[in-house]
Amino acid sequence: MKTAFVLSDNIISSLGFTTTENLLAIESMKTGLKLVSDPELFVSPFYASLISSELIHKRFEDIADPNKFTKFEQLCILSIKEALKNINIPYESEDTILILSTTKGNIDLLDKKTSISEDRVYLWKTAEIIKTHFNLKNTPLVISNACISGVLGLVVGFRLIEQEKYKNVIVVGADILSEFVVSGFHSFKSLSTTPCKPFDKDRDGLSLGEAVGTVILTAETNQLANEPIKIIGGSSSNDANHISGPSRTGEGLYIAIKNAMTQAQKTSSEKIGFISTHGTATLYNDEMEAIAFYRMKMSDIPLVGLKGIFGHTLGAAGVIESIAAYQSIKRGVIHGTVGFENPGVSVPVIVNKKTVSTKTNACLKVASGFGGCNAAIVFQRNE
Amino acid sequence: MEELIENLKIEIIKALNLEEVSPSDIDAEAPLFLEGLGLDSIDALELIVLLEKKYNFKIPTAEEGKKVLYSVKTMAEAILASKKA
Amino acid sequence: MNDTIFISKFCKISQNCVTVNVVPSFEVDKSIAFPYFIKEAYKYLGMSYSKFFKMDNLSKLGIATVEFLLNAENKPDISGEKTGIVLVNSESSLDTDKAYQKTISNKTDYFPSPAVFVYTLPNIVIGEICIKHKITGESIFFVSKSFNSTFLHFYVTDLMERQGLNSILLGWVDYLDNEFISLFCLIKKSTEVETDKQVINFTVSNLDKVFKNL
Repeated sequence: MKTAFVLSDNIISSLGFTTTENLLAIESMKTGLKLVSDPELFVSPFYASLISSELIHKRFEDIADPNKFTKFEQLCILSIKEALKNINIPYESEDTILILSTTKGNIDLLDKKTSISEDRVYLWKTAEIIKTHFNLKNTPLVISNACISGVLGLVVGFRLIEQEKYKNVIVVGADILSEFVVSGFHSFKSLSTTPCKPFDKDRDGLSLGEAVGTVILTAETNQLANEPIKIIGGSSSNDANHISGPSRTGEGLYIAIKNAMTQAQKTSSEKIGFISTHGTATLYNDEMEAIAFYRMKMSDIPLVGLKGIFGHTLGAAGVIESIAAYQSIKRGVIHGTVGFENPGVSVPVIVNKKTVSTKTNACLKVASGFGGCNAAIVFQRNE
Repeated sequence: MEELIENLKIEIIKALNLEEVSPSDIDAEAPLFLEGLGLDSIDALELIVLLEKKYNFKIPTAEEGKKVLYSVKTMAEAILASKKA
Repeated sequence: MNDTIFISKFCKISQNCVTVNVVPSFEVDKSIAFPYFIKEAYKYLGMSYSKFFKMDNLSKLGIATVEFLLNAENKPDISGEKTGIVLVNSESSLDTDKAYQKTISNKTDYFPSPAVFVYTLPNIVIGEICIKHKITGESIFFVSKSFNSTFLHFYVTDLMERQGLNSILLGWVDYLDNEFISLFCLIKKSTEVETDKQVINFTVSNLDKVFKNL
């Protein structure tokens, strides 16, 4: 059994192209949500967090021909490249594997007239393109499991490292904004009319976003920074209730957290310092989460919601929000929840409003998604 | 009104894939949700689309939506009322 | 000492034919399109589950395959936290994605369908199976060009030996443009299985043999 340590990471979002740029923006409570008026994306304006296409294009030009790669692929490649900088792992060897977590990948290809082959809409094909670019040895794993894809990617990577199947696992979570996705959430009447308000009594829906996050997990301890972060527990569960509405009793999330915590507590008695919530700001999701935390007797643990900053980035969410969570431990802070003013759920919650100092060493990250799925993962700083 | 109700029943069955239901099975005054056909939240959203697409009727607010979608009869009444306006 | 893990029966559906452990169980003329085939299968199974007809083709295929499989296994109770689901395919939810795209491609007849949109995620098949059979354990949907026995053997073994699960529904389920194939099996621990000559040890090579039928 090996310990799965975080070796390196990267976030690309509307807040910036590096983890540091994103962390600084989050700490200063800066939101990436803007009113987007783009008829190619939707018939009417909506709040979202978009990454500048010009910036992506400009940065990618230095790496390869942007015309040969989709926006989704460019983002993934840029993020992995950034995460590989400043570390030295034999990523081309059979000891390394890539896990790609995404809900829709290149779904915009269904509508676009480009020179890029339509078979790139197959998620395994997209993963192949990325694999080929980095000359990786192993066929990537692709997880497409709604909005918990990102957390699941980290959990699968954790298990692969623990059981010594690979020495390094590159976990990438990514999704782009597309008319397909925007119109779909709009048809569900789940888009907010203002920048979203996680856990707030006036919340009225989610705001979408696009992003990519990369976490490189490793079993090797020779390159780790001081007091590295490790994964000590992870699990998932299904509500078995409804394919789009969350369980009113938070059943699945409760089970996922329970199992992740049981596993974490086998190796550590460290208290959870904060919970990085899913917090989509829909009426039902945030209520369901609050109930799950209450059932776990975790109501006194501060909650952090980052979707008021990133928007809901679907397949990327679990990865970028995990990075923000464990990085905040290293930086000695608990992030504030942009968009939150007053609690609007039926059980007591402590939602952290502004960035505050902390000495905590452990956090819990959770996610939920369509299909009644829920996931939880526990990160701890190694002292 | 009767014709509209019958027409609505057929459209609802089609839109919601109510395979084992025929128009005569639907009581126009019975509640569509919780009891009666036992429709769920996704069905409600599809009915909103149906009203717009086939009957040119747009539900103004969520509150109004609950009243309009109560039964086939209330849906028919709302459609007719909007035509008069 | 870990319990021994077995593959119980496996059920395959393709070309309008259902087989259990390669023995034909139900069949309809190959010329008949999937919606009619699957409706006949539903009737043959004696199912009474109106939600079935709201599902997309991928979910109908998955649900029906599980139904045939559980019937062949004498309807074991797989409800609860100790059952997990691991599904794989190569086309994700592409068939339904295309159907949804149609509802938004004409800007003068623009009516995005929420009932179609919700199925544009492959893990909804898992959700439907969980709802019907009240399964609250771990689940995951992988997308892969082909069935990777080595990885899936590892992943399922981990779920059963280290994550505390007792049964796993493991399956491949693909649907696109009336071309479809599904193959599901139930993986169980030895304490859960009566002495039955039909069980197959859960090894990479046996997993390969079962799923070579794809």
